[in-house]
Amino acid sequence: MLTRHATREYHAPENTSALFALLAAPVPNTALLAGGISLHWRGCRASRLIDLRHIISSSVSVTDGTVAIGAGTTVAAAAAAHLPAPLTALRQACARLASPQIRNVATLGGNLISHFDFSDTLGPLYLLAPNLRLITRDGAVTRPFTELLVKDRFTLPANTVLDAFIFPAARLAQWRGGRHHKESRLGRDLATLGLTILDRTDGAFDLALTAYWLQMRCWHAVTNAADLQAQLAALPPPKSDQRATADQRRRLLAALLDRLLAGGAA
Amino acid sequence: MSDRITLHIDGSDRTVAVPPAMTLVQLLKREGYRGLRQACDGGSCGGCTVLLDQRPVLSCLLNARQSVGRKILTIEGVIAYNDELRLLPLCLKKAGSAQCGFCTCGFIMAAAGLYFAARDPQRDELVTALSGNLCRCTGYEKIIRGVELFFAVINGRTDRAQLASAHDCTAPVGERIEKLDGDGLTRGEAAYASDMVMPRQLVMRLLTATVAHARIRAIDISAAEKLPGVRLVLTHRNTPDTRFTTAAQGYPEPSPYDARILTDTVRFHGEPVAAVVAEDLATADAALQLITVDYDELPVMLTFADAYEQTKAAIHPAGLANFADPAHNLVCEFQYTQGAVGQTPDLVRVSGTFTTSKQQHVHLEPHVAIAAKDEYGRINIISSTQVPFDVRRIVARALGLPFSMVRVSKPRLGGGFGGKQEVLVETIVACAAARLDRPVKLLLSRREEFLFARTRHPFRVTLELGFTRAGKLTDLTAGILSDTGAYGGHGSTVAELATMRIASLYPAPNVRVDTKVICTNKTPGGAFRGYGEPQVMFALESLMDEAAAQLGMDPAELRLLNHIRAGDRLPVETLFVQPHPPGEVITTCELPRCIARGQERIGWGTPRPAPAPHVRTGKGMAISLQGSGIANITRSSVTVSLNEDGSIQLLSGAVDVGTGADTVLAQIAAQTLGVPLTRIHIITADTAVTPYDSGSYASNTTYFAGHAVQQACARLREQIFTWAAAKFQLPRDGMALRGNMLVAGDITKPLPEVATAIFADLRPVDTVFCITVKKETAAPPFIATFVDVDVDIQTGRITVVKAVQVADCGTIINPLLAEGQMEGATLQALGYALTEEISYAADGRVRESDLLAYRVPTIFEKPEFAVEFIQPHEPTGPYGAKAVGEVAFATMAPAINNAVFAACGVRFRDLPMSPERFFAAQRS
Repeated sequence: MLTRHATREYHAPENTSALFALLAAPVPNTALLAGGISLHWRGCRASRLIDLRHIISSSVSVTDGTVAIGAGTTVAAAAAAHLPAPLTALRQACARLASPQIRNVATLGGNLISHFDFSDTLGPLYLLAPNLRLITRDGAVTRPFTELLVKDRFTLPANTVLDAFIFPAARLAQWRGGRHHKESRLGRDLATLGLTILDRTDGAFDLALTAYWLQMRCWHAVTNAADLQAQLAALPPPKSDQRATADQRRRLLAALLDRLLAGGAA
Repeated sequence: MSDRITLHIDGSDRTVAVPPAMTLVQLLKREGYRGLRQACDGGSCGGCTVLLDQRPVLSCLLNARQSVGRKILTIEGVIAYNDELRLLPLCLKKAGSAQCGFCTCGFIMAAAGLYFAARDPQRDELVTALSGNLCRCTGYEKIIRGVELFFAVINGRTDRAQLASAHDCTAPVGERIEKLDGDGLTRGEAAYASDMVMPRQLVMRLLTATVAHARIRAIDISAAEKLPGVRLVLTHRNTPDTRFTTAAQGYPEPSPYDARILTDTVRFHGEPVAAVVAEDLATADAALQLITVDYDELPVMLTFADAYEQTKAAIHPAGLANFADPAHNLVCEFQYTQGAVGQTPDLVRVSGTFTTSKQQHVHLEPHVAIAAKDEYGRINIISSTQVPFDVRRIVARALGLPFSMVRVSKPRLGGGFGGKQEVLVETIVACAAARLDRPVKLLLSRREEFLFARTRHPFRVTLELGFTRAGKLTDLTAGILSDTGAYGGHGSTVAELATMRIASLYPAPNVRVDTKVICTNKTPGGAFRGYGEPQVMFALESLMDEAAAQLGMDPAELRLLNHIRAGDRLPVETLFVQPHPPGEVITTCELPRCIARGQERIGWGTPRPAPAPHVRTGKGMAISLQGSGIANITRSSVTVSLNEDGSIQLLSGAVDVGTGADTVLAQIAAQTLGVPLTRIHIITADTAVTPYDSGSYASNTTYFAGHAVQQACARLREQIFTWAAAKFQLPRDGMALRGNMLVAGDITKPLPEVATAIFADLRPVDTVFCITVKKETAAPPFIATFVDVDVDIQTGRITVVKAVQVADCGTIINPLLAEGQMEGATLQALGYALTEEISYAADGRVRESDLLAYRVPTIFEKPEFAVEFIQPHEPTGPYGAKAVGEVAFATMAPAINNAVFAACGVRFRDLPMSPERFFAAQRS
């Protein structure tokens, strides 16, 4: 089996002082653990692991309509949480992520903290664009999600740790609901893709589309589904060495989008 | 550097030293916790599931220190937890949930997590809870039933008394008896070679080729050899140059001698080119990084055209392997003809060219072997193999040793499906152990399994059928091209069987089949459930449906008109002998009843309403036959002996691959002797202990080894009766063994007392009988398969809603285990039909090398199963039995293809029937 013997140090700091003391002593190939799944993806090559479980929040709270979900909340816990309707798509994405065993360990913030920015939950997060509570050496700061997106890739500032996702009540008020559809194990190259739709209160909708062959695409305040379908049809062709053709992918996307817009699960 | 940490495991605190890199599964295995399996390279199989604070997690993805301060529960903890949870393994045993058992504890742990989350879950909750675990043997159905049984028992819907063992049964043939090793498998006690650690053991890791075709110009191992902890580095320069085949088959060995322990010429991407033996895996891996290989690259040939039709290079130049035409990479070719095709006028003709895919076995336990010298200088090999005696032969040849200096045994096997009919790892660990005087273990990773373990041979089948207007098949013309990959291996025999099968199912007066086996720069093909039949049946049974449409007949009607019948003779026994000897006469064939029953179970002719506007539904069918071993090749010997306490010892060289063969052989023994099943003790497959057996393949164990058991036990029974009649002056007529008693008229004597008296006799009374069985027959089992599918015409997703398998396998010795074989084969075949394929980039690199890219069916893809047996008494089989293991495979792909056509008018000519191909076919 895959052997992981690169790691020379493992730390689980109890407080932020200890955390930043560790981060102040730069060790090449350091990985932050927020859950554990990244141990497989990244940790096997990391020489130092820093486990954030004592540092980052893992609770879910709703206060006056504002929702705070700790970055250390497991995906399973997020899927089971009682959340307002606009967060339904996020809950659905959590409920369909990987396997039950992985959902019990993976955290909502894990992929972002580990800079492994492809996950079923990213589509809903991109659309919901929460504020992010960050832990810095000088205390907690809040930054908009979109500020940390650079060319559709999520990047945390140096020496900061993601603590929680904050969904302000005022922002959530713009949606009346949402849904997420994951199409997986469909052929060899068509899958996997995720579609997230958030229904706006003004009748328009927001769409996030994730697929490994086109990364992430978002459309906001769409009022004309036909226009959107035309845009999807104009997406750049996929990379070579894939069996599915661009035309097949477009047809599939169009069909799934139609179904999702019709209101049900695709 | 290791720190000591305290973990709370199964209710107790344990303080252990843990290096920073250690995962939780590594720690638990080191500390002796059982039942944890690793079948993937991380995160995909669920075999290492434990509970952390009552929730299932994958212990391979967690650093051991992440579990500090949390409650860890393992299978031992489940058994000891409370009076309810300890029933969980028992329920899975009772339901037949464990076949090879390698995955079973992972499922039990996932189910234990559900127990803590939901007192009485609905079926969909249950399925979701188990969805993170892979099983390759069972088809998941019996696992679900085991967990359902558990919740039914703890919620009072089922009486606990139903969990009582049936092992005290004295007439067990035909009974639904749980496996004799069921407790061990479900409680994590079974020992697999992959779990074993020998004292002073060294570990081996392999360096695999990064190119697909090249001569090795230079290989520098000097830096690796100097690394502290490295004990040996092997390459082609310091290993024997002996040529042998890695394909394990009976005598006469039919495969080309084209392999050596380590190659000087890379013939496929991922082929091992060097091996490092070191004190630990970290050192071995570090040493691999220090080896440099200078390749002189050669043309890469991945297609029939490149390798054969316009050959770019000889993969095995003349003189290196006994190929038919090495210059054109032709391993072998043969032709079967009878009558004269194309001579009959006015036939309704259908034709097509079909291609099939390269499927991997994905037995959950990878290939593994441990070799060590004993005090006599013998090489002892513990291997996860289906063929211990063939391993002995091949290792002895490779190392130039007499057979007597090689001993091979197998513990429990974590699946095989033909993949472990290949001697893949044993020669190199034996080579290393012979030099080092220390045990050496090699366990392949899942990636290595995908890179160089064997696969099903991809075929291109060009087929034409000609029918009279009344629907009688008159002409069958086929051209079969088999891609055997980089080595000949099983290529010739797989193609031979395919040729015979395509000519067998529907006897036609005029037949011509031309078959060629071609070598390419792909992963070698090997033995795989069905052994060539699934490839040709995809073509034949798909085309039969097209013919039925053209003839205006019901597909079932056309098959009923043409299929082989009892009294017919199989057209040929082997193609390797000229003139071809005729095949055996079929003694039992219940295909008409199978078809009729299948039609009833699927609702043939009654359309099912579509569940959504974009979904079309359809039903399809296919039929097939298989073999029960190989006539005139399979050889099974069995030794049965009476112990002094009246118990029975059964020694068999056959291997229980997970099918339950040990239990079936014990059932036959108990039935024949009339003693309780609990009095039969079976020991299998150790070349130094058990008598010779060809190995477990070709579905041969029940039919051949079972017959040997029946005959040996009958001899022992007669000996006991004869001795007892004389000793106790009892009437010989009517004497019987019932329960644990010898019965003669009104007189009964406990068998233990009789046995003790036999051993006390002053004369040497023989209590050991060895019987060898070899037969001129291998009575074919038959099957009719019906499927009901949903086709999403917008996404191309094909969902098999229901699969009906009605089989004539003669007498079913154990219906519980036989159903498990049918269900498991059905789902494995569903994967072959719809998702599974290893493909190659243009430079020959393998594209699918993990369980995320290569998609075996999960529990979500499991259809509703309906398995039924029509049971004629097959006179050539033990208690009328034929084989069960493979027959359910070959029909699934054509049945699905035919159902898709019925649903939406799309016909596939290529496997797998992926959405991409659906769209392409839809457009065309």
